[in-house]
Amino acid sequence: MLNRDHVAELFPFFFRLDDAGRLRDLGASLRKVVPDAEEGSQAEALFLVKRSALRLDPAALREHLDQLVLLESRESGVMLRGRFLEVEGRLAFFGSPWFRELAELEGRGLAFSDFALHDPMPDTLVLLQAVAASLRDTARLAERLRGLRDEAERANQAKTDFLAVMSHEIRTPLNVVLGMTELLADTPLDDDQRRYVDAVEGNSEMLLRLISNVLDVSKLEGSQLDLERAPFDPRRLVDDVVAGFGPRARAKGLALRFEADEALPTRVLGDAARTRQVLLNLLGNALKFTHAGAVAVRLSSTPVDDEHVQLRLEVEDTGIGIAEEKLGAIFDRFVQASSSTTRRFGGSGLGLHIARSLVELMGGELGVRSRVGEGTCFTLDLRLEHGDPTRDSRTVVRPPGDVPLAAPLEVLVVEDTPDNRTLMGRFLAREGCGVTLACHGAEALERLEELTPDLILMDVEMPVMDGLACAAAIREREAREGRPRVPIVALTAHALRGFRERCLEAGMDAFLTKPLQRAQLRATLHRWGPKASRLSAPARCSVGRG
Amino acid sequence: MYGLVNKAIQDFVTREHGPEAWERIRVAAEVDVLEFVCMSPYPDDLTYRLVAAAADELAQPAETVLEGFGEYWIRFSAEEGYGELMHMWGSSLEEFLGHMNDLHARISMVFPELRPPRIRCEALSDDMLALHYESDRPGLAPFVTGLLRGLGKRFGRALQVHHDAARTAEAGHDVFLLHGV
Repeated sequence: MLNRDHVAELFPFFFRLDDAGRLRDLGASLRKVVPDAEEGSQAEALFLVKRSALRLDPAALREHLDQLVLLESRESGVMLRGRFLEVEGRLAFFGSPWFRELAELEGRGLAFSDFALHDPMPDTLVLLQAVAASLRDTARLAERLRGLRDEAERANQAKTDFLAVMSHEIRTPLNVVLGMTELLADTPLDDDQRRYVDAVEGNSEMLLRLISNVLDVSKLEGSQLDLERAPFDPRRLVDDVVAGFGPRARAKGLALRFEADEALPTRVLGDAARTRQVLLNLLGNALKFTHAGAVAVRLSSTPVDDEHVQLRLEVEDTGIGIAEEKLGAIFDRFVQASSSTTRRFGGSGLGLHIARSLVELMGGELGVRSRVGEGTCFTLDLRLEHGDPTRDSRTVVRPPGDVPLAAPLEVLVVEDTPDNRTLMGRFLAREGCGVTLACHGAEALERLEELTPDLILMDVEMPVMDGLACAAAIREREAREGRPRVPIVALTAHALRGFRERCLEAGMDAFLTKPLQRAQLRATLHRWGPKASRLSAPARCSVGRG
Repeated sequence: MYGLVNKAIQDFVTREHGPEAWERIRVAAEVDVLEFVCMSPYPDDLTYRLVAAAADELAQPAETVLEGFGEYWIRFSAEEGYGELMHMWGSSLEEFLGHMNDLHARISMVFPELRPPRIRCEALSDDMLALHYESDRPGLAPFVTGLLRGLGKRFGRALQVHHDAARTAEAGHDVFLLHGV
């Protein structure tokens, strides 16, 4: 059917082998890839056989006629890919060269016209070329995107740092405003003045909450937030928070219920303060967005294994509810269910974002289900370790109320800002404490030459000698001179990661964040004040009063 | 159009007028692609927008931009690794033009969404031919003029290219007259 011309047209790299293994009837393009091929050349001398038979011997090849043949030109290194067929008693090779790069073709002087029209080899090379170029393009794109991502991350970090610095800077004067307002409220005031002072106090507290939220967001984003791991009683924690909202619920005419499982553990290990913060947010929202009906808080637990327990906290209200399409976004930053919500109810849109971020940091889940007009239910699931029931809870500090101190304390306050110093002095004096004031670490060390207070409240950032250096010097002196160990509580507006650790490493015992409020101060005095450790203290020296 | 074409426009503008000019054109054309991937197809509209924005930015008629770009295309595709391809399609301009349909047929195996034009050469005299160009994409005649000039340069010919309006109207497709083939 096919004549010799057809074969030459269809297989330009064709050749026949005679019985002596010599090449005959060479195809028109064969010499471009096997330059030393000539009519009558010995095939063995031209090619290395890479596949099929071991030798280009007609008898051996006849046994492998159904197999793929790869022949490598000894001179050019080009591989011919094809098969042998027996045509009219003679062996004939049908195939074409195999290349991996388009450039190889040009290097060998091959044109498209050297290939049969049906041969896809040159097109395959174009395809490979295009794929390689696309990979380069994609790599370039990835590189560009990486650069843009890094740039965005740097900008985000700069914003986070700025937020942290700004909130610190704002907290310091706010501390003074709050403290002075508290002192002012204790002075004789007429009704108008009382109203003004209440307004200053209420708004300052609101500002403080807002700044705390901004600081939390910046800490969460900068992975700067560390969690406590200490035992606490979950029922007591929730009970306290719910009780705190009682007056607000009553004022709005809402029922506020707390239902707790009987089988709740009395001690779990976790971060009580942050758990409380989440609950405060959820309960605050529930009361804010409910105008009639009830808010129910439910706490239950499921044992996981010997060491762990799963706590579930639900806060359910009969409030305005959240539209389904908004539910997914309410945990995003700066997002509220609608902009009219912001107008009607205020708020920064940070609370739920912080709550979910905190819960995720604790390894838990915060979920929500809601129906518009019917109400909303937030569920908090936390897997916690059992705490040691023989140890007392450390982090849930109950406000000591108006319980007076067992004995008047002598407190050394080290603080560089005059307003803060005055404020601390007044606060402590009001609690019946004797106060000595020092402007910086070096002055504190001088005072301690002749004084052994019950407690030192130490600012951290101060001129001359900062709080860290001062605490370290105090501990060193105590050790050297065999003096009793005076508790040192760091007092600073700094709340960034690592700061607490640095304070503890310097020899301080606790860490309080400004603005320090009266309840916190009282709790601190109760905790660090009249202790058994004081038994070893020598007789107290008289101290200067602030 | 495939990314390769848009990439060529980007490369053309960047080389001739700097990266800032390209960035302004990209933004003006509302193209949010940062890097074109040569084997990815992009909407034709994007390419036309780029050409229009380039004309605005460079204060040139769109035809001039297209012509310049057509001439640049030959150089660009050679540098992108397709130079061998052109070489393999003929050692003379005439031979190359004669293989153009085959070339497009083969390339459309690799770029399946390619809508290549149909090209026919008609010898008018020893050094002159009429190139008949049929495409379902409108407005690309200036691009073809530039492209033919670029090819002439590649094959070392002082080629004169003229888009023949009269013949075009008569034939119902674009006809180019090539002197100095």
